[in-house]
Amino acid sequence: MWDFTSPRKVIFGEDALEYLSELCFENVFIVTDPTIKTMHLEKILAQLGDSKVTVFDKVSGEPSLDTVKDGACSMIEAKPDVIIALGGGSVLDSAKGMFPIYSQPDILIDGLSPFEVLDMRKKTNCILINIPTTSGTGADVTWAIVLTDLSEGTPRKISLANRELVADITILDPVLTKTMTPRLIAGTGMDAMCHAIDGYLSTWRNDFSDALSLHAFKLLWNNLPIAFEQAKVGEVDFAIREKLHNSATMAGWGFGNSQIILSHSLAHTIGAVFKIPHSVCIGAMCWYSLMFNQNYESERICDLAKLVGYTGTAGEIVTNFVSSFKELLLNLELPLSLLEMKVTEEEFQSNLEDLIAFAENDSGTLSNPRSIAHDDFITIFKCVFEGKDIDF
Amino acid sequence: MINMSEKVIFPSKEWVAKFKDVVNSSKDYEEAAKTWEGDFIFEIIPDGTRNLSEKHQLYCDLWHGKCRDAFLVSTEQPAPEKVEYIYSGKYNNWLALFDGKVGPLKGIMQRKFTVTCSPGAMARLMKALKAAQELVKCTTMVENVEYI
Repeated sequence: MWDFTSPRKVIFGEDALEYLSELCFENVFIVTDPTIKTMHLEKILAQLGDSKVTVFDKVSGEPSLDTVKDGACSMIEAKPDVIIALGGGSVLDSAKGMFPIYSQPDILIDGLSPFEVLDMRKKTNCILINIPTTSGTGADVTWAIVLTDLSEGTPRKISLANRELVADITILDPVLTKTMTPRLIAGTGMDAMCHAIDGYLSTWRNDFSDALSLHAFKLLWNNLPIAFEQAKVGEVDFAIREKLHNSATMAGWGFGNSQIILSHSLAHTIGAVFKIPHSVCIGAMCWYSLMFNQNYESERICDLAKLVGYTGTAGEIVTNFVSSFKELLLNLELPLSLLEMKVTEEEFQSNLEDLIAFAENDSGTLSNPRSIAHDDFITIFKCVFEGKDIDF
Repeated sequence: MINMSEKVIFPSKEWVAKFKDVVNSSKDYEEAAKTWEGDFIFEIIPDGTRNLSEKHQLYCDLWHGKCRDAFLVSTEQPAPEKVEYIYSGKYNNWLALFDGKVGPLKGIMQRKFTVTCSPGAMARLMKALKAAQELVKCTTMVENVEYI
């Protein structure tokens, strides 16, 4: 038995935000961050009519369990009938983490079980609407959240999951991506591309996730470089932006109903230990993951490559595709190694054991198509540090 | 010391004894579970597969990379009153787990296995995925097993 979980509605395209005005809420709780609040909050408020609105804007990048608990306290006081999460992955994950606490204040959020019956909507008469402002995380449609646990010595990313965390409605309006910088387009776009690849290669893949992952990958591969180059010269083509925005959600849908693999184990780990934003490191980690898995999932990597025009023997296709993936990272001006991410040799060596321990226990390691031994991780992390090819 | 070349029936007292020996000699498990503290009941539910006719429970006390105690639960040797985790599944699913066809976490996601524990304990379990994987690997290292 397997589940495919999805929001009740996905509203997308030009003017999608106007859908909010068709709904009727008494008490709205908006979760966002200070930057998004300044850029986009007015657009949301304009659609909410006379509803009472409370805004929690304290979400930061790589949000902690403490931020989530703080927001949930405000939510409990406000007693909303709708939660609107407006922002990137950090905001969406934070709102998804606050909702269970709102419905059950004594819940141990870091102990959330995938199978716990929360009955959040029944207990609160509240729904969750996600409005992503970046085209990357897919957090608007996934049932997992990634938060940073600061309770132990070294900050650690924890993944929590429950199918009730999936939003009721997700709204994809490309106008919200207008102000994305080239750097943000590149980083979040590569995050989405990595979701599509991971979802397709994961050992938890299934027919439904395959369909979404493949099409999302094709849209991202074809549109991401164009959007990046346009943004560098100040151009915004909403047709391209819409493709990116939709494909990020489709990729989230895909991997959210399949799993992540090595790329995300590495990115979660170095993100937590060295405080490197996910969007900065995930692209490179996907490249290392492709190199490590290329001889074990060559048929599936070929499927992806053929979809975007690669031809030749299976071996040629895989080799050329992995090499083009590196070129894409370079073209998008993304770093390829920890050294390029400003991690020093001393920092790397002193944290290596923690890096390995965290990566070994990340769920992405468990669902990677090739099993990863302790010694493999040592070699992989050394390659990641120096930017070397993985050739074993 | 258990003789590994002797044939053992699964599930049985002898299998549990061999499994305990395998766990305690596994360096990989010891490393992966070096901070683990928590005991388990592994419950095998008959489902018409082969000839298993009654429910069996295996108790394992796992502590800092070692198995301190393990036995087949019976009237004569009951499980402790409070056991932190109960990992339960049908016999056919256990055989698939031993065969590597189902992973310990994917098995839960697919409802092939259930875990009963407190919410806090679930969080600790989710942080110990490598240890869980190594523990499952130990089950496949018990030699000369004849499944009922």
